[in-house]
Amino acid sequence: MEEEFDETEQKVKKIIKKILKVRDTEIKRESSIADLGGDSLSALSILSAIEEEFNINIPDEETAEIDSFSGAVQLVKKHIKGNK
Amino acid sequence: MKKRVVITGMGAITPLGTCIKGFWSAIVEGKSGIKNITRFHGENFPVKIAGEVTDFIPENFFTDDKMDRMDRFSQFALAAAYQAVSNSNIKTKKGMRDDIGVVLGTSIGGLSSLEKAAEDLFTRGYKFVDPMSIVKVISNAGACHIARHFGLMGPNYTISTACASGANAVGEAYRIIRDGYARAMVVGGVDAPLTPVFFAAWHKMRVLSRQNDCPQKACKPFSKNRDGIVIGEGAGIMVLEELGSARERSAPIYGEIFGYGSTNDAYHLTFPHIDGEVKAIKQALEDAQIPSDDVNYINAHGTATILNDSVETDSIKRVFGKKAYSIPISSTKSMIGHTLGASGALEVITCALAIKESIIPPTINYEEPDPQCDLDYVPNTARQANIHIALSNSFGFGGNNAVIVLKKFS
Repeated sequence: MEEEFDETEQKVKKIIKKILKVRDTEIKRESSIADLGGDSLSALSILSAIEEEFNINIPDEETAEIDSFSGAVQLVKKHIKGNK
Repeated sequence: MKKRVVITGMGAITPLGTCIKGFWSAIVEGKSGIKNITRFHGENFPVKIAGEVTDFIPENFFTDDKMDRMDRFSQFALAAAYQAVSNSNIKTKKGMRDDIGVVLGTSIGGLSSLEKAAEDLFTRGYKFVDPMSIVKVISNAGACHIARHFGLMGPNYTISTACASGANAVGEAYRIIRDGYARAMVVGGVDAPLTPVFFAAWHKMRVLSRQNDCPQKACKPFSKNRDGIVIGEGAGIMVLEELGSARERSAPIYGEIFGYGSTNDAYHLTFPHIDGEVKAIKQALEDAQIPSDDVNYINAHGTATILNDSVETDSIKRVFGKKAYSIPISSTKSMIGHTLGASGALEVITCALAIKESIIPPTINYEEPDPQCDLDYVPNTARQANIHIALSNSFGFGGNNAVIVLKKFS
């Protein structure tokens, strides 16, 4: 069965899809960036795109959290919340 | 027969002074050249510090009617070359020398002039682009200005291997002289990377130290609380010369280039890899035909990123075994920051002076021991030492590794 993604997840998914050039269906909640064929440099690109998309600033010490799809989503949610 | 290659002249443009004497006394004293950036306004940038050269006046070094056709990187290179050539007292120009060449390392060449042209194009329009942009931007401009200015018609190359550029340049010039293709070479590295677009791009890599409040303490190689690179600018240039030629004209001799290793990790653009580094160090020692036990000083790449410093430590341990713990190691970058293409050359100069003066400049800002980095980093204070063989490590983005072996001249 298809996983249900919320709005933030959809947006992050779109970013990851574009940067890692993977299909929608390949991205699962538990997918790591490495599983999807990415490395530390792709994580930097994802980070930058996320900062742009959600208008947030992610500090250096949290960048390691972008090691998976769900890690990236959690980071976004934490910072969106922080901004409000 | 292979020729012996010695250093007969040196010049430096650094965040700690624009001459060899000033640079050397500052690093022996453990001073820091890191300060707030004044070259551009980066108010929104998270990093506001760098190893900026603030006292550079090109006219203090040379007069050249082509000055307005030079990017800052070419001016640095020519000013340092001018010091090195005067220092070595080698005859140039007269009759134009075809037995002297140039090898220069640079990571980005005249990028600041390209940024200026881009700004003019996008904000004002096509007709405002400086027609001299191309001659300022091309990476080989620095080497060509040196050749033109001094009349050096020998081999002329520009090497771009990111942070290993300067060391690769020294190594390749050493081979050119050793194998008899030139009598002398003006060689070294240069970069002038304090330019807004490039600096912003470095931010995005997230490898820069953010200690804006205490610039002088920001760069902390091998210390547990290190938080990244501080970008610097400058140039280091030497005259390398075949020993017979140097002796014939009673030139000053600062040391001997004794071995060179050069490899690529073939692994990742930014992640260092122990195998490539170890191979480069071993290759350099084999080239010098000396046992690893003979090494008494290592000038580390030591950038102060978490990863570089721990992988470099592991590489040294793998090559030297237990002996690694008794070799003094220091990072010049702790004091002037990472001058990119210039760093490898300035660090070879540091090694030559350390051997000659029997003093090892320290790794400053060493505050907390890191279990991942457990060697002797000559923390915070220079040390007297009788050095016969020194090693200079340079490891660049792209996986480029270059290692130079220097020997006390006798």
